[in-house]
Amino acid sequence: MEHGPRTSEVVSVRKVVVYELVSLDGVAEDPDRFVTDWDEEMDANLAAVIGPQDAVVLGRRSYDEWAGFWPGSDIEPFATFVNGVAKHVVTSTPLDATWAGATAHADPVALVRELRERPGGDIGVHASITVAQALLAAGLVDELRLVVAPAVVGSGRRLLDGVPAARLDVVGSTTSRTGSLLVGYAVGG
Amino acid sequence: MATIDSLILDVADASAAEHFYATAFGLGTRLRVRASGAPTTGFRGFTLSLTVSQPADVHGLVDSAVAAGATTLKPVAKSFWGTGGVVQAPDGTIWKVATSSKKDTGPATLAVDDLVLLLGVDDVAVSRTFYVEHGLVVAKSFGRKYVEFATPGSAVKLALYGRRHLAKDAGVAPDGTGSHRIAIAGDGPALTDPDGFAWETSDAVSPAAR
Repeated sequence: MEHGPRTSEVVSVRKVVVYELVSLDGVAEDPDRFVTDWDEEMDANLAAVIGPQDAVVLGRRSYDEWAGFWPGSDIEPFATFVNGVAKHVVTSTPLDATWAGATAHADPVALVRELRERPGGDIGVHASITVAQALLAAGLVDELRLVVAPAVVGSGRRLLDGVPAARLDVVGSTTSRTGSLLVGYAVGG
Repeated sequence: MATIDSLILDVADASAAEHFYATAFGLGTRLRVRASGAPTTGFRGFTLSLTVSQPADVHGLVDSAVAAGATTLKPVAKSFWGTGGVVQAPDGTIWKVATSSKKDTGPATLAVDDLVLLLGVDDVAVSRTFYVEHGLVVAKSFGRKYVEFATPGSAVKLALYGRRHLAKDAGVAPDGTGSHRIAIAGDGPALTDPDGFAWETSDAVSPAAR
């Protein structure tokens, strides 16, 4: 990948980027409920996030849902990306669904530490709320890329519940045509 | 019940419906209509989806349906999944026209790639099990929310959504009572699924029923 390190002396330049769709009240579960509009800027934003990624980390639930759907999909730009990328799945039991490029791992923190020591592009976390929280708590996330939908849903699992207090730096922010906030945060630590 | 030959819409005015569908979509023998006065109110628990290859065809078919008398429920718009719009035919059936493509690659042809019956069910897992036990094979799924069956050789594809999700996708309220106003004609025996959708054996549909 073009953003990957050029030589083996470069250590730990792989960024860990968490990309999530959230409601204004911070819910990340079941985004179909609150992301009711999607426009070109949201597609371009997603393409920019996944462009430098050559590995993703997924929780088991997200993996099982996605393994049933994406392999036969032609919904771009995500289908080509997620079907081709290396998928590291955090799970305590073997994967039943076979999806090219998927491997099982027990511990997200150990996994990401190990991935960061290898050369490569960005490491993406998509959906997978539990994994995102574990990595945030361990200080292993470099960037949060959020699509904040203009909706309050009230119930559902929130992305940042249980995550330690932190100050973040905004590294980009724009409002899409249909009113979603596309915002990136650099996570210190 | 591995193959679906056609869908039969139960409509108040069969000749008007035949004229509408011939004018709006031109689906041939995949879609049939017959007269019915079975009581029904609100959402009927299913939608029909026309899958096309590009946005120009979505616009073209939606315009064609509206010109033939359909009502717009959701104007054509881009989504994460592609481009789509929803209309309601004069007989009450809800039609979605959609493509996974976001950009045109040529002029509109109004060619329909697939006719998909989306059943809005109470419990996707229960209905999935029912259909798998009756010989269908799952082609694609998304957790407990969505199942699409492999129907090689069928004139019509079949998929399951939760009833509330499906109504929301169509832009209508999920409430509804009475007849679904649709039957599925296939090569298997007659049966009724957990949500009351009726399957008929194709041979049993006599020409007189048209």
